[in-house]
Amino acid sequence: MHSNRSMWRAALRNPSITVGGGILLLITIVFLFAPWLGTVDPLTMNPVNRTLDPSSKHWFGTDTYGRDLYSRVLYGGRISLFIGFSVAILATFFGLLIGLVSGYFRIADMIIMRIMDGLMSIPAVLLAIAMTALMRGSVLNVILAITVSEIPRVVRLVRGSVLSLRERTYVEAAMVSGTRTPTIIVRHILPNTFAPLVVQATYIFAAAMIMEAIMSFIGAGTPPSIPSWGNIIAEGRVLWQVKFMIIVFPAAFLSLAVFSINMMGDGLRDLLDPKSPR
Amino acid sequence: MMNKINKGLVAGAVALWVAQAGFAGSAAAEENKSLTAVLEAEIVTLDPHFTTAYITRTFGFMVYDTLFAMDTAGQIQPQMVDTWTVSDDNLTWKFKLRDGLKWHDGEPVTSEDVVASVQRWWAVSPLGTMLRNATDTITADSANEFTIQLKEPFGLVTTALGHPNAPVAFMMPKRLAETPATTQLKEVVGSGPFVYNAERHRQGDVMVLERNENYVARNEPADFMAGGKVVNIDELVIKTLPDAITAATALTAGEIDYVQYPPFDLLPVLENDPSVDVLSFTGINMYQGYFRLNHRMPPFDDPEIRRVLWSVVDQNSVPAALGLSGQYTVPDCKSFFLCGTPYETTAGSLSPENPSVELAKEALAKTKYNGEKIIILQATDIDATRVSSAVAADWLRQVGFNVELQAMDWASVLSTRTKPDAWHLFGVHATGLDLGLPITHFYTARNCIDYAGWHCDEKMGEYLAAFPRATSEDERKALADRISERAYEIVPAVMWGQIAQPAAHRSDLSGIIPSSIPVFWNLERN
Amino acid sequence: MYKPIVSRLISIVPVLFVVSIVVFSLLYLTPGDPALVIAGPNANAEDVEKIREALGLNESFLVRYVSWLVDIARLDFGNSVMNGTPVIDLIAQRIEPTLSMMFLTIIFAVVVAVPLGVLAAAKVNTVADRLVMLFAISAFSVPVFIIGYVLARVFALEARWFPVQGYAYLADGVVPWLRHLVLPSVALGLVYIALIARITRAAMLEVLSEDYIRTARAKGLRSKRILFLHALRNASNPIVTVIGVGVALLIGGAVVTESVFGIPGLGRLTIDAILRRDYPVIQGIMLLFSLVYVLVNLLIDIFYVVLDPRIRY
Repeated sequence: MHSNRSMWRAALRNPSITVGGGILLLITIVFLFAPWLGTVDPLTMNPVNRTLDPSSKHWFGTDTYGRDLYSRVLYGGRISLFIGFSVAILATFFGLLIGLVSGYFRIADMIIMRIMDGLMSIPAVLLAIAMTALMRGSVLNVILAITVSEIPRVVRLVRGSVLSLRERTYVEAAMVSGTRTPTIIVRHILPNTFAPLVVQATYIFAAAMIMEAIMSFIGAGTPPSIPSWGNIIAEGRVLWQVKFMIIVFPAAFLSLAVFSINMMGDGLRDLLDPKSPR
Repeated sequence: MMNKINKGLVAGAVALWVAQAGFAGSAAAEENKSLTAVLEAEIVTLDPHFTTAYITRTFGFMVYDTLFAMDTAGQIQPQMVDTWTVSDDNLTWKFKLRDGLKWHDGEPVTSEDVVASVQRWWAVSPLGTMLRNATDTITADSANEFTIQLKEPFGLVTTALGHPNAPVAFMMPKRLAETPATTQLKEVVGSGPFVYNAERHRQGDVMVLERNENYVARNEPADFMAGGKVVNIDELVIKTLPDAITAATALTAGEIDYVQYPPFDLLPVLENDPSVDVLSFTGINMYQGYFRLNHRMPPFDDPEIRRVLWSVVDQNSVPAALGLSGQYTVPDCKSFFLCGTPYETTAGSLSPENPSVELAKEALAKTKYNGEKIIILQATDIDATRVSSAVAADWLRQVGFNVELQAMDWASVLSTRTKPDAWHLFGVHATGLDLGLPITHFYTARNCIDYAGWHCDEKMGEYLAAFPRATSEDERKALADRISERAYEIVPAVMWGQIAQPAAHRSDLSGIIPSSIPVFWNLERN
Repeated sequence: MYKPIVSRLISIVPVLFVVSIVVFSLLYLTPGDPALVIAGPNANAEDVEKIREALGLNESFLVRYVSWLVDIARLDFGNSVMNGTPVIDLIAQRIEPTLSMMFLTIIFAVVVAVPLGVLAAAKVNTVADRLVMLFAISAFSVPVFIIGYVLARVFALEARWFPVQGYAYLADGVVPWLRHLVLPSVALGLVYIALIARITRAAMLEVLSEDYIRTARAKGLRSKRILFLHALRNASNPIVTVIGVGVALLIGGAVVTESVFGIPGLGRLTIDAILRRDYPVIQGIMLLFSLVYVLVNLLIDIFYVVLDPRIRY
């Protein structure tokens, strides 16, 4: 295992991590400071001024309701990143928890894996539509729907890694010597599951943002009253041949963000996963 | 080396063959004079009495026929009926059917079929229910004659039988018409100008309607739903294309001939395409948009607070946000029964000349509104509802209401709106065919009944009851004014604009009937 | 080898049971009422109530679920509440377009992605490798409907190589069938190309660093043959896995692609059924999707054994 400091140094030398992470950091900072970056209220409508081209007043132009697109893209970024981040954290956390239980207790395993197979086989898009219909469109529902469909993948990953770790001599030794289960998990299992999990989390982050856009396309995404990149693109898509600008800006930012997160994920995998060659 | 060149040649030949095969297909389709149309939605329910859905009404007008029908001027003309007489006391109506009418299964149309069909229809139709309540007996006198004996004067006998308000009085054989209208028919047998072919119907993909070779058209020229329904194509292919953007692209590419609802934002593109024409509509063939209010949900139980909305809703904003340019709207139409229609009236209008947030703020300050939450329902899968509800939320927020916009799909709106304590307002739109007549207008006529919004006004009820009994058009117009005055006062709904939903078609089609119900008789391909 | 497969087949039943409970509960809790949708927005309350009663929608959750289970046990999937068409017929009509599209997409994705991944691994850390990875990440970053609109515009409307929309059944000839499916498969396939190419590259790199490949190289085997025959065979395990996982993603992507290209498939049927609250149809399709997903993954597990003799059940 690397020490923490050498790990950091290795990370900084990895171009995928520095470039991907750098872009992501920059985007995040821009969005956090959106209110101070020349934006106006992203919700105020003015239909008379709809679909204007970019100008000094409206840097990215206006959307179909005459709302300022620059402000919407910046505020929308907050929501999209928040959705991606939340899904990554929640799916990883619950996936880890369920995966540990499933991998460690053979009785629970059978039941849990059947449930996970069942959930995994319901396409996320369909689950999301049903859940949106069930509980009204909201950011929380979007997060929940994507999370539910991502959890089984994390569970499989964690379970597999626990199963193989159990066979290792030092874990077996700890189990035989009567070390309490939580201690074994914290001391031996968690550290070794950590690396693939972090990599998986970055991919989930990216995939969740794309999924949010797809859900908006069907009308089951973030409610139209809250701007997100997904629903800005979905609402503007009719105009893609006429006023390309309306989807270019949110789509470019979405792609850039997803791109940088994926890139960071690749870098992290190279760095953390000992089996993967540089 | 040689090997590589050969491969290239083969690939090229295959590509060419693939390309030609496609064009050969469309050429063959043209020879047998078929026409491909994409309508507003998939035709799922085929029983025209069973649902009020517009798309099923459209299907109905193609496959079924009616006793009477409306012409462009809004007048009611005979269709299946040949001649009819009215007794001096206006109570006995005798009708004679045209000769040679046949059902699609080959059987002749009899007056017994007609009587059974009328009875099935009037159990569910609002206009029909009025006729039924005024009727003493309806009887078949001979194979082609029948009588409606009224117990009280009713000025709208032919209107009810010929009005395109859904469900329409479509005729069908007795054996089918004996099924109650709340049970869906499993068979489609009409006598209309097109025949439905069940074997060629692939749900979610295509439905084929073939020309009815046995149809006897009237001699008059086609005039809206009235006149001779002469079909000049062999078959009509109705294609389901859920994505409107794709439908517009396919129209431009010549893969389809007619799109009922091209996206508003693409109308300028289609107008500039020489191979495509855009068809706009006027009068009762236009749509009117509304914000429907819930009178049982505080604070909207207070008419003063409801009336604040007149001060803020300007009729340009929602159509503009929908992407409609001025040529497709009637600006500032303050008539509940649409403008350019027989019953157009602005009597009692409370809508100021220039509605604004400021005016509404002043008006709101004078009411007892105390920051209660206003729930606006927004259906995200229907453009007009999605956009109008969003604009309403923005307006009310600026005026000072405490707004919650709830996004959901249309099916959820339909069920949520049945609960009196779950909502305050939602955006919706409907055709002038329904809204142009005070007694079929959803937001004036559905008075004091269990209908989402639950407006109830005693005086309104009196005027509505008097309307069908009126015997002259002047009397009816005066009543329309009274109804309009009451409606402005109690605010069952607030209009957000009168708009056309233009259709687009290949420019080689001519003779299309300018109707918001797309019908495919009369038209020809040049 | 057979015993585990049989036990896996048996384990499909509990999976389907889980799916049925999840789907049924979701639907039960979902606001919306097919009777309201059927009757149309302007129907009277009494008429709606009559329709509701006729459809048995006033029964309790348990009664409806149990009677549905009993029907399923007799292989009766019920009828669409919208117009009484048997769910089985609806699904049968729609299955060909979806399966065709998914089949072509997988073929297309594998044919393009595996060589790309091998190339990237063979030329690791060169410009070629970077380009492949850049493409892989970019393809992953654009929503599929945007790709669809652009493809339809460029290759159908302007170039006129393919139709904009629609589907031609295989029975009417292979050529029209193929012409209608090229653009949707490419649009849907780009994401999977990205996914599979990345996994292939990673798996290949791992295998290439192992001892026996080095030994083979030392023995003087030509490097192309080493790469393709030995390395790819040994790297096939994760590649096949990702194709299997991809099936679930494909079903999700098919929903959007079918909408954009007007293909009358199962994805579109599902969306329509959900929007109309056509419960029997939704339940039938969900069971089918789960069955397909489980079976594909079972097939993949069998593949493992065939492809990699080191694995034993």
